Amino acid sequence: MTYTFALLALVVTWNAAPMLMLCMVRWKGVV
Amino acid sequence: MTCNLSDRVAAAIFDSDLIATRLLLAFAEFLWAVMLIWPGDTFGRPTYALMAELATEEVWACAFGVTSYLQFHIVLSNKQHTLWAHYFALWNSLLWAYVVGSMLLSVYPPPAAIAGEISLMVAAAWVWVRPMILLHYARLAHGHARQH
Repeated sequence: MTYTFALLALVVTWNAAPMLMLCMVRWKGVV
Repeated sequence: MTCNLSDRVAAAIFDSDLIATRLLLAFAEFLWAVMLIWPGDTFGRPTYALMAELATEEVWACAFGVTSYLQFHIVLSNKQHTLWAHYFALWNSLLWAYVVGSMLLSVYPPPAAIAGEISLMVAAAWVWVRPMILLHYARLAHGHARQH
């Protein structure tokens, strides 16, 4: 069960990271 | 004109259409559904241990079947630019990431036969992420960015 939660966390991170990065880029106005 | 390597890579990943990618994902999901519904204990193998912890074979087969149907529907009805197709891409990416992640964490060394699944996971994530990147730069190009 611990592995399942760890995997779920990994999966969510994998899919949310690009979106968060884009939000940060927009917020900071880098490019 | 494209001249250097980064231009050619950018053209290959940004200027290509994702319809073929979606079709490939839909077909792979259909095959997953067929093989999971196939009589026999697929989840008895150690590779599927983490998938089995989350749901039964039948539930996974249904998830893949419905996902495949919706993916085909998006492509064949030309709905890939709608908002719900974008959110569907997120679901699809989550599904592939869980499936591939579970197989990689369940056995060691990593099974060579899932090279295709890993590629599909990356493709599904790209279908979800690319429109957001393009939209970001489209907004910049049209002057909606904050002025400094």
